[in-house]
Amino acid sequence: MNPKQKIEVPASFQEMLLRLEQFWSGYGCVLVQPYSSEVGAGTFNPATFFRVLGPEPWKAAYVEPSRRPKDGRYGKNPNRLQMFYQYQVVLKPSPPDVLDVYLDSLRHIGIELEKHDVRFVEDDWESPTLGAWGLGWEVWLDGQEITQFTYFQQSGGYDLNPISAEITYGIERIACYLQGVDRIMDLRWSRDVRWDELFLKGEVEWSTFNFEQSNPALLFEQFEKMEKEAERLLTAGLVLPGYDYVIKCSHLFNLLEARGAISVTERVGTIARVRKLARRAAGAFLKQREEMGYPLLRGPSATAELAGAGRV
Amino acid sequence: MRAVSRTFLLEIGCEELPAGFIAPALRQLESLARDGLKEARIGSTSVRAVGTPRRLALLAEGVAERQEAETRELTGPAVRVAFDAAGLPTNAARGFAKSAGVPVEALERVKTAKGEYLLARVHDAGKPARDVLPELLKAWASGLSFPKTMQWDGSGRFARPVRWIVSLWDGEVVPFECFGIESGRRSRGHRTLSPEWFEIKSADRYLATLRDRGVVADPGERREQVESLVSKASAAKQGKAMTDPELLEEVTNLIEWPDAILGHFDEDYLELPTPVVVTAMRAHQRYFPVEGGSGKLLPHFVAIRNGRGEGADSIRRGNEIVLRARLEDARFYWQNDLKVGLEAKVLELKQILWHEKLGSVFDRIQRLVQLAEELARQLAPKVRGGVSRAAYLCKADLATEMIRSGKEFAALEGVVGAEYAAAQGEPAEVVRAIREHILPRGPSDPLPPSMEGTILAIADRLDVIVGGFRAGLLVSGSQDPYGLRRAGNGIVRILLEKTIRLDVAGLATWLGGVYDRAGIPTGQTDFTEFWVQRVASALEERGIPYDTAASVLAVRPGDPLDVWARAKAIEAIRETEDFEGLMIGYRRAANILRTAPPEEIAVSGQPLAERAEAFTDKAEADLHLETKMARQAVETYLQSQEPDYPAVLRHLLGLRPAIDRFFEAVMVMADDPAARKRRLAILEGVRQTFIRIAEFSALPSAPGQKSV
Repeated sequence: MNPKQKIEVPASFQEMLLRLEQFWSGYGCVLVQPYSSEVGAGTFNPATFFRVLGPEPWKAAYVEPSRRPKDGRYGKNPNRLQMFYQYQVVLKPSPPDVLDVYLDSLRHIGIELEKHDVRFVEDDWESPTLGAWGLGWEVWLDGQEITQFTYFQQSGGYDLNPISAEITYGIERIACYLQGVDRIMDLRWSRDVRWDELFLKGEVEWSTFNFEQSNPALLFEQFEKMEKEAERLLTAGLVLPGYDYVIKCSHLFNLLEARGAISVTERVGTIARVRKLARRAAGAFLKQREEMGYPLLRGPSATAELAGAGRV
Repeated sequence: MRAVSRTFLLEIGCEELPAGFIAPALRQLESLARDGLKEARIGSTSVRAVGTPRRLALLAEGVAERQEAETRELTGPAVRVAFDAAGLPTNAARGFAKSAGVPVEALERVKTAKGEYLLARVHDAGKPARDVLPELLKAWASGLSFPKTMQWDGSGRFARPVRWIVSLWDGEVVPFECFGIESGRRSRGHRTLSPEWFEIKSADRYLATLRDRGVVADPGERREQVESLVSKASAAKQGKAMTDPELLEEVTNLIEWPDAILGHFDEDYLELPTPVVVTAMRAHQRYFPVEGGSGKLLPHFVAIRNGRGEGADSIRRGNEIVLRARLEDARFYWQNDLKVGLEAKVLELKQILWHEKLGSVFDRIQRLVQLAEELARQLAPKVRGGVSRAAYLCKADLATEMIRSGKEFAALEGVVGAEYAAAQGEPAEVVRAIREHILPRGPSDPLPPSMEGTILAIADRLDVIVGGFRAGLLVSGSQDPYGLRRAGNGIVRILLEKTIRLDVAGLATWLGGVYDRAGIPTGQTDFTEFWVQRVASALEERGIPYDTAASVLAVRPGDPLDVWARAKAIEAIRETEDFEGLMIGYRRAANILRTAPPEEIAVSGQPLAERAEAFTDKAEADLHLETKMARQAVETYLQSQEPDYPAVLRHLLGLRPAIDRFFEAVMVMADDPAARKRRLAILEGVRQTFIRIAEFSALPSAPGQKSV
């Protein structure tokens, strides 16, 4: 893309999203759509967690509603929320010009890079519950973290080869820039409806629930049951249903932590329990793909499968 | 032939390297190149490494065209096996000549201690440097090590992906392959100021070409620019930027071209404790905080932007928004924590594990309070109440949201506790003790100024050590993973520099009793051995020779200030004539005791005096009496607050004539067992008196002499 070519700023959040979808669709990504369970980040979506494993190539992009119960501020902090949207891109193998492509995507949504301060600041990313880690950066736009960029080195405890690049955009923050507003609450979601009209009440209610009203006894009980169910399903060879219960465990853990119901001592142990399950799911997925003969390695003939990959 | 010299350039182009990796990598690159060129016999006038987050580069100037010529001498087989009976060269000689690349006739002979050997002189004219460089460059590029490396496409490991390599010999490419990349002349400039690929015409144009492309490649130059930009920007608000070297270094290595942005925040946030506000600016955002003339924080900051030109306003606004969100977070934690109060936070420490064998942090606090009170009783009974309260509260910050958030404020652990204590109206001395108890954090950190802080600092560290040993944490080699050694050094420093007398070993034993009562079993490690090493290293740092340190530490090592005073007294006398007399007296007694059967030596403390009537010789009685008097004098000195050790040594020196007379008059190892035992007992009394001060056998016998 010609960097000098000026691109008009999208008028609303949803138009910005459409631009991202358009950009990455044009790049050849599968637009897999958000996952249907509560997750803390787009990495939990099977389109990333599973697909970065094994030898098959993969390019996908999607919005992921991400829940971080601990980060709720009753809608009072201008840019901290208990539920926000990530735009997640995963490219496997990571192409050599991946950072240039990423910067192009910023231009495509109307950010004139020449007028901003763009930085790639070291950040070693780790998800202890998923047994995943990688090296990369926080991408800063004028001091604000707008993207997490990671070269995945391990997922589910397995070394990765080829290496995937994961790009996670914090889209509310980027939209704030583009729309010139200081608070996420003031974002124009569509041209007529603002963010606060859609989500503010939810932030207040969920913050109240997460910090005050959730029932720790019930959450603990659910955690135990979900954990057993995940084990049972994975033992039965049901990779995706088993993994769904791993995700549920992870979210329950986040709720318990927000409630202050998990002591520092228990914290490490509980995370290790979830990680053990995630590792089993990853191992089961790798075995399954091998038995299937790695369909995506077959090149163009894999198109049919790629097209149906919304549900991995 | 006229010597021609060249410039060469190696540029390893990367995706953005972690700021902290750059300076160490450049040092490595420079030394790899210096050593490599030297070894390859390629002369150069200057070798230097420069770099930014996106490039590590090596520039060598005045590089010789060719390797220096060299004649090497190779030693071959012995002459006796090199020629046959007819005097013709054997296979051994031929083989050697062949491997050395010289004709057999050219072989010379050399005489060595083992006999005569063949010698080949091999002349190496040297290759053109240009032919040798590819191998070298490849070795340097792939020889860099980083604290953490990654893979990106299977071509190798590096701190971040390598995307291009420039390798120029003046204007000519030196081709080699590394990380799956062919070296060339294509490079990249600043990401937004000059995003296109471009070519570097020649090595000597490197820095200038990069400057045209928005890159200041020399880190020293960038640092100076940053420093002057920051000071200029803060001066605009009559302020002074807090530019600590670490932050300066980091910021320098986060950018390729610096420009300063002066930003502001709402004054209301200045109601938060200063360390919290400074952390919000510095820790994550790498802003430089600005102070006013009185040292008070101003509501401004300086951010360094990577680039120049348009957009300064939107960049400033963006940075202000980020800072506001961070300060807002801090305020959220601060207010929530204050609502709960430290008293309740202390109880929450029951939920925080200290160590599985030692219980929770709350359990630790219980012991710490007792220890701090005991210490106050010994050192300053008046401050006992304040110290006790401070000990109870000093770890409560661990349970605050500010620290538990895991955000940048977690780094304020130990610092922020005093802020909460002050905000909830704790007495000044309690706040002071909490604030100071983390000092000193390292060998050059300040010491706690107040007595309350000093007591709590010592107690905190001693508990770390004694608890650590009970938990089985080890100190080995250069490793100190649990900070036990650092804690020990901290105690020694406090006591020596603040001239406080304290029997730390005794206090450790006392604390051991507290652990015993809590049902925590004794560990494997010996406190005394650990402690002696800590004090020994402090003495060494202060210029006390090893042997003097060993002699005084062999006796009552518990109180570092006392050990220090004895070491100083011995050092002083070692410079004088008296030292020899002192040592002769000691050695005459000690040597004969060493050869005597141990069961014949009366145990010290045995009531020799009762058998005084049995003395058969006046010299016996004299030495016995003089020793007794000397011993009494020594004990009196030892009782005083600051024992006069030079005087003690004079008393010991004063025993010398009586010792000499004793040896002249009597035969110690007499046939009569009673006489033998009695005489040995008298000498043991002498020795015991000496070793109240130091283990003299660790010292040499003459002044100025070093013992081995």
